[in-house]
Amino acid sequence: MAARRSEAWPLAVTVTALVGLPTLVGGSRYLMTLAISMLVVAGYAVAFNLVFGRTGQLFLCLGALAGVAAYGSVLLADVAGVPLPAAIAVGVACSGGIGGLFSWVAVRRRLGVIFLGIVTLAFSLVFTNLLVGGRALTGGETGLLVDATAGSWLRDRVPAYYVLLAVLVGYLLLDRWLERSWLGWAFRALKDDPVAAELAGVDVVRAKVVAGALGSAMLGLMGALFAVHDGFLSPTGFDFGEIDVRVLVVLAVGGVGSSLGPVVGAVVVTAVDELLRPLGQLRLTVYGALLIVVFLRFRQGLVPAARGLGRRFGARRARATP
Amino acid sequence: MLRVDRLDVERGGARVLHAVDLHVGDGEVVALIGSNGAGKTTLLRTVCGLLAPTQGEVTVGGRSVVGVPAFELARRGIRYVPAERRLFPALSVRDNLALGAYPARPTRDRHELVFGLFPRLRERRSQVVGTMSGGEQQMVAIGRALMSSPRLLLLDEPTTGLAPALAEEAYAVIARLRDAGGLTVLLAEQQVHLALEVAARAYVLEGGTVTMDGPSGSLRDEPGVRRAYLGFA
Amino acid sequence: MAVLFDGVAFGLQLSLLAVGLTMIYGLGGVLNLAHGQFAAATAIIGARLIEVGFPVALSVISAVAISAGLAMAVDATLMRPVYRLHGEDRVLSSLLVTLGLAFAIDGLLIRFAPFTLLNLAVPGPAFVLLGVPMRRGVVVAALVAAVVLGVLVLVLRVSRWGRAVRSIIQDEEGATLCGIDPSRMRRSVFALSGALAGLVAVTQGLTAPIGATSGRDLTVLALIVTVVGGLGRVSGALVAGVLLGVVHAVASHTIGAVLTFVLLLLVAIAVILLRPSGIVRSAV
Repeated sequence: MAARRSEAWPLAVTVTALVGLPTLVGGSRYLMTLAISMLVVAGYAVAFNLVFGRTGQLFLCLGALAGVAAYGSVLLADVAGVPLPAAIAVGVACSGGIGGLFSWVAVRRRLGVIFLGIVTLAFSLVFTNLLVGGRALTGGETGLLVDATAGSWLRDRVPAYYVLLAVLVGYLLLDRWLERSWLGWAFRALKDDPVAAELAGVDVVRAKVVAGALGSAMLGLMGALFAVHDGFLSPTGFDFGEIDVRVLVVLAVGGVGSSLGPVVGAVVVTAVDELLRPLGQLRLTVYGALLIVVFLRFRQGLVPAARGLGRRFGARRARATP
Repeated sequence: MLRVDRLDVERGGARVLHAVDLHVGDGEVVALIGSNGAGKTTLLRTVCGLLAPTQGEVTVGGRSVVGVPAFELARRGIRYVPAERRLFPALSVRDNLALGAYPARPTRDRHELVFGLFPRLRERRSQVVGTMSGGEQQMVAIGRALMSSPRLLLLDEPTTGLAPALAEEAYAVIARLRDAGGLTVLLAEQQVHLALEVAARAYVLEGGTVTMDGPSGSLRDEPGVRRAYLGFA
Repeated sequence: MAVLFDGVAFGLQLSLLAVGLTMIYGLGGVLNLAHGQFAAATAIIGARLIEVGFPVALSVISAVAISAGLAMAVDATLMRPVYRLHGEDRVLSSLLVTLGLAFAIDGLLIRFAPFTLLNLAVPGPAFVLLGVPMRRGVVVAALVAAVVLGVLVLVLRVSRWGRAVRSIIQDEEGATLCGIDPSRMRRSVFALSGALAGLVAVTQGLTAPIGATSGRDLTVLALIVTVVGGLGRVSGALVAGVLLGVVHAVASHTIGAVLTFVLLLLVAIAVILLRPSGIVRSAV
């Protein structure tokens, strides 16, 4: 309880800093592009945190879930002529539906973490391959230009930044609100002991399906909004190696299960990613090593670990100066 | 052979055994009796190295076994036969027995000894263990432990899941092993009348401590034992 | 007919790839998502040794041995904290750690050997098998895979080591009580699986050049075969490998490579949902 309350201040500070960011770097296209991709990754991470961190469901199809909504809404808008907001709504609903379906099937068929991981990984690969194969509709590997937002204000970086930031803040508020609702209670019970939780009357199916569907819809909304802002879609943008691994690293750095963690992780990883750009493909190696080290050494992530370290340090200082 | 001194064992933060003292002489058969949850299995699992004590000492043949991994103790001839048997269900009787001799090659003599004790296993040596009855599986479990010429045999509830006739049969084999000599046995059992028949001495374990011990004959006449374990009012 | 032969030849290699993965899972309850990367690393190391001028056979054998050593080192270092966990926690952390390892290896290989290819093409005219012409490399690859699988099955059946491996897969505590050291057996099996993955790089190199980017696809293929055969089931991996090899050949012939890959993935999903213990009805 105390830990969660103490997160309110850092959260407010972080959000304020993010709101102020464009006044500092708004002039730089390069930095704004980075800032936007940072927000998107943070959004993905908050969503994944809801699914994996809170209910322990290992979805390895984050990119694909974002891609379903992105491709879905763009195709609906551009090919079928559906108004953009409605198209996005449908796309996001599809992502949420698929995620919820995964959760439901996993609970019903009692799939362990390993099987759910493999099924979702397989889905992710199926999705990417269908995108590549369905050239006529999706443009295949070369990608797809978005016509629906051509020339609209969403294409401009600063307004798009604020839209995405608003969505991210919405996610964070939703996350906190969920934590306080019956679902938060169910999540904590589930985490402690799933069997006991079930016996205690926690509706395990509902808690997991809600988390899975909601998290997936959040992934979808972020993906779709980014796509219509960016004006371009391609399979690599939703590839397992591109999205899922980055989000895993973000969550590893930021800490699984905390609210602020994903945002801090996204900031750190985006910055590190830029610094490492000269390394080229070796960045993959750094990410891999980071995943290994973080998961082996700090099982709850770097932010909680650092906080723990700080607390220990503080305690030592307090003892030293009685 | 086996000496247990002031043994304390905790499981999941709860103390299961407290200040247990016990010894088993060379070639002796000793019974450990007590109700469900008294700590019999915990004691046997500690002696064979599957559990670590929080305090106290366990020595076998004068050497401490505390902190030695279970597979190493098994190689030193300390063989535990758990109540749930822990056989390899998809392997044949012969393969199960052969694994009992690991890492040595299983010898014909040892196979013959086990088949001599359990003629039924000879008939069924190629059968897959998972398809056998509970009584036959118990034979395989004891046979597997005997394949290594053990110094100390730890038997945990060998009559679990057996019909009364089969339970008697199992104990007849234990009696034959005792009479053949050379084998030291510590035996945990809820069917106290059977255990006291085959064992020379017995310890009564209650709530994780030894409450009584002595020769089987005198324990049999002890009013507390008669009431609690032998079904006399 | 030609398609069928091609399928069996490819399937045997799939079995070879999956059998190591499934044994590690059976023994240690861990999944190795860097399995294909061991193969890719073997290919690059082998190709480099050949480039430097070592004889082909020696290069290939050394590369496979290095892969085995690498796998053993991974088991001794990265997997140790993983083995300290139990059940779901163990699987999950093995998944994340080996995923990290997979990306680490991928990054290194693609950075330092982007254009290196292991090409062991066997020259000479095609063999004619039952009236069907078969490329020499394919036939040799299939033979190597078949022989190695045969030896492996035999060793698992009759040797003391093989019996010990099978006993741990069935009941780890029971094996411990027989004097078997599970962690040592795990290490030897991890090394074996590294060697088998390396061998797949060699047999693949016999049929077509194989390079740094092949790791991910091989891992996914191994995962599919392992799941379809049933996690931890050696016989399942053998059967599923050949079966999926044939499916692969027939499908690539009719619906193209992309949809074939999709089909295999869908088969894996279907098996997980309908028969999570795999398609083969046996305990090991």
